[in-house]
Amino acid sequence: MIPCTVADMTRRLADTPPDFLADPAALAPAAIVSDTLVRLGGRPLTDRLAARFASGEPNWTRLVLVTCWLAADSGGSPERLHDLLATGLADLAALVPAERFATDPDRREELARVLLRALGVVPLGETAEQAADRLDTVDSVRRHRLLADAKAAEERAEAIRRAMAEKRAREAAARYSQV
Amino acid sequence: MSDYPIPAYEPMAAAVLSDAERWPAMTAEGARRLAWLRSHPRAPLYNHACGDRLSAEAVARLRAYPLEYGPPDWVPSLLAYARERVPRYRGRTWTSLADVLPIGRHELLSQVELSVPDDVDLDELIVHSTSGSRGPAATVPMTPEFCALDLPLLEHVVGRAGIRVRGDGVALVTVYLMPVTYQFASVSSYWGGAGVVKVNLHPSAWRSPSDAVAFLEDCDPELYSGNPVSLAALADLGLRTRPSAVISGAMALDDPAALSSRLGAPVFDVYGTTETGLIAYRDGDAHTLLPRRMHVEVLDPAGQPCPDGVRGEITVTCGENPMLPLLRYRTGDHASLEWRDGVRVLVGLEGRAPVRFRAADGRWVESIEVTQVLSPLGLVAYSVHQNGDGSVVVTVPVDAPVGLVSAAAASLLGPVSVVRAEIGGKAQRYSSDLV
Repeated sequence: MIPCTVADMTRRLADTPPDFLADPAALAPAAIVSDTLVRLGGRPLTDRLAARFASGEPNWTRLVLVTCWLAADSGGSPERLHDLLATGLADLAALVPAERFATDPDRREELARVLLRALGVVPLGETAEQAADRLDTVDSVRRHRLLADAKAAEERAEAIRRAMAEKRAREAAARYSQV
Repeated sequence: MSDYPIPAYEPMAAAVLSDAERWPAMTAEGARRLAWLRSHPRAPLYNHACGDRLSAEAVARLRAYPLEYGPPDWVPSLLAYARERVPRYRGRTWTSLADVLPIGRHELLSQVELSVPDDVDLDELIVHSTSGSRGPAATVPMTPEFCALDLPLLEHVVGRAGIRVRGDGVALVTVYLMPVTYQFASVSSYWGGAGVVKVNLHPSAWRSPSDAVAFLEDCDPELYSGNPVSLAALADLGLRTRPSAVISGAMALDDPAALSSRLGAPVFDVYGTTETGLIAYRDGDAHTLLPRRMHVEVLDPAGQPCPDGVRGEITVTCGENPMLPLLRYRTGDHASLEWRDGVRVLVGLEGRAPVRFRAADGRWVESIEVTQVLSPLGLVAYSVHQNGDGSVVVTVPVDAPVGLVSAAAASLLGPVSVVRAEIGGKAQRYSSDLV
């Protein structure tokens, strides 16, 4: 891995070539993934592994390609990159349009940090704790989960208040002693 | 009664279920008993309907309830459950009960939804109001089965004196004495369809003054339950029938022997709260804890457990109400804990002493009646004091609606003065220089 700062990586994302964000149907995503792995010193994709990238959901495929662009000159571990591409981006792709990882500064930082974490690399100029803390603050998946938890909790609280106010609850059941 | 400020007691307005929903395990015997109670010509003016809402499975579980003392070895699993499922406690890192911050009544009940576990079925939820004797009346969520836990516990209390509930007629009449309260006829599936009736001994609750005696003698219940005030009114009726036993609760009973002699039956004094259910019963000079899966501590004001024999606040941990698991719940009542004959007892229990006030027309008004008219006003706190000359002062918080308070209190007591002041949390709520 070539030492780099998060700023180095976000600059690279800002320069993402438009081809990587084009309609994946017009590209050969599996070939791009395979080339990237080879460029980093890994093996090309087998046919079985390639099939996964050839027929993925479009936004996920675009995010995979943007991540390939970001990782191509990183010198990071090809095995770790493959794990991230194959299994680590689905939640993020479900929440954020892929082009925003090129156009939105916060999302650029997020993807840069997601990649660095996946490669097991601490950004230049940061400690591991600082890097983890900073990723927490830009982590879309985590934020979505927290918001969903808060929403679910409020819906449950409202359901309880409603149930307690219902006449069928207030008719109650006979009490036998006085306390 | 049109000026009485309790909208909740419009006759039958709160009775919304079908009888099948009220008594899921109703027997033919129970249905006959219910019809008899409802159609009795001398019955009180029923203004509500209420069942036990117990399924056959719930009845079976209650009948098999293990009335045994044991170590609180279930506490760790209750803590783990609360961390996982109770919003108020999610993600806490307790390692033992001592790590749990005690919770007071206001904190528990003002945001009670935070204490209802995520995984309970809200179709099972019923609510009961607290009596208001420890602060503004509040609503407590529970299940019908938790409500009916009284039944095996009361049987345990009277059973220690060799008294068995047969359940072959009217098993229980619970008596109140208030200007207005619910009255209803019910039956108990736990007691095989035996009758359970709630009556108000206030004259306004009956068609004719002689009906209370006629109806209660006809019911001839095995048990009466009530509070010291309503049971004294029951004794005043001079019934010729005698129950097997009488249960007194809600307020300190100063002289059980005198009440027992007037009612011609042993009187058992029980202690509990709506939030916890029954906690203890009086045995001589102490209150013996009931054999429940309930852990009782006595805590000092800093939340530390008091050594045995040292007074503090009675604090309850209990997971038996699925809708409201309690972790170190401060009851607001005080006593010390001791061992006696291998069982934990509360010594010097400071119950809520009944206070009565003399109204302008000379009638005596119980403090619980004052609670009933003032609690709907939503006051954070208040106190009522009667001076030696009979004048009554109601003290309310500075932002309280004085006109409404004055009108509500006057509906019971006649003219009162209402004073605005800062009210401390532990102020005595009712007091009188009379008596």
